[in-house]
Amino acid sequence: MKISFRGDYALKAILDLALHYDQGLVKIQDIARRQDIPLKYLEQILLSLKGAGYVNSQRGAKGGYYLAKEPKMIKIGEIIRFMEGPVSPITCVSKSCYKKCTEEADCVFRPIWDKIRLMTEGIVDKTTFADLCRKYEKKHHNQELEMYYI
Amino acid sequence: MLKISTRCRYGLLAMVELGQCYGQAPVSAQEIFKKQHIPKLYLQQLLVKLRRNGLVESIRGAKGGFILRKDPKQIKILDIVKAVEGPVQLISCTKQNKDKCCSKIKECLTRPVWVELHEVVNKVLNERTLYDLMR
Repeated sequence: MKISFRGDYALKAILDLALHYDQGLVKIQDIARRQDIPLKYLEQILLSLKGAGYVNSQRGAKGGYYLAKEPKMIKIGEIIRFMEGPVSPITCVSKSCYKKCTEEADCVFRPIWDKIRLMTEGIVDKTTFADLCRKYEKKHHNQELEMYYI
Repeated sequence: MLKISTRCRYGLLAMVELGQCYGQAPVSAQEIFKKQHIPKLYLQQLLVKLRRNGLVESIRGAKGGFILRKDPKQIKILDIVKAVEGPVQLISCTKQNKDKCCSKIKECLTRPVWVELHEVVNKVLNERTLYDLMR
């Protein structure tokens, strides 16, 4: 039960671009530095994300990456599924990669796996990158206040 | 993303089998193997893990076998999953695992998301007991 670096980095890259949405192009080096992602790995990830239409890039000395969609239009579930595969814990309760199991009808575990799937989807299909930006900015703001008071 | 392993399912099946015989004579690995179709060697490994984690007890002798150490109502599904598979966590930098946290934990953009998912999964597994699976 693990989230891979690939998924985590993709989410971080999109969120970094979302935090700089409407502020022009973002250099890949800046994302790598801010998010602590190896540059070569980040290049591959951004290339996949570009292929899927989530980000765009512009070449040249002043080039960089930008989000192809508004942050509020991208749900984190889309990115997790794209990078990590289905979010369902097991195929017998999955919508996208469902595989029939002969013991489905009287399996005592299936309701639990289904509950996990439902609750996971409840989070990832509800949260957009705009929500994460708001949370981040709020947290950041509080941290600054804390420092001020100390 | 998060996958339920065969090991986890087999571990739960073995515990359900033992739960159904709770308060009765010990159940041999052979009986569990016959009823639940878990590969024999696999089952033995799982029983060792369950015993080491204090969920089952093994009793030697001709009429020996395995018994649950606690009432099925007191065994959380999370305990069983943890025993056979280790902690259920999507990331290593959880609250319970402070030494595995990286230095950027405060600025980390994605950790809150993973922590939220981690908590949901653990909540579901912690709310249900072995007894719930036996009905």
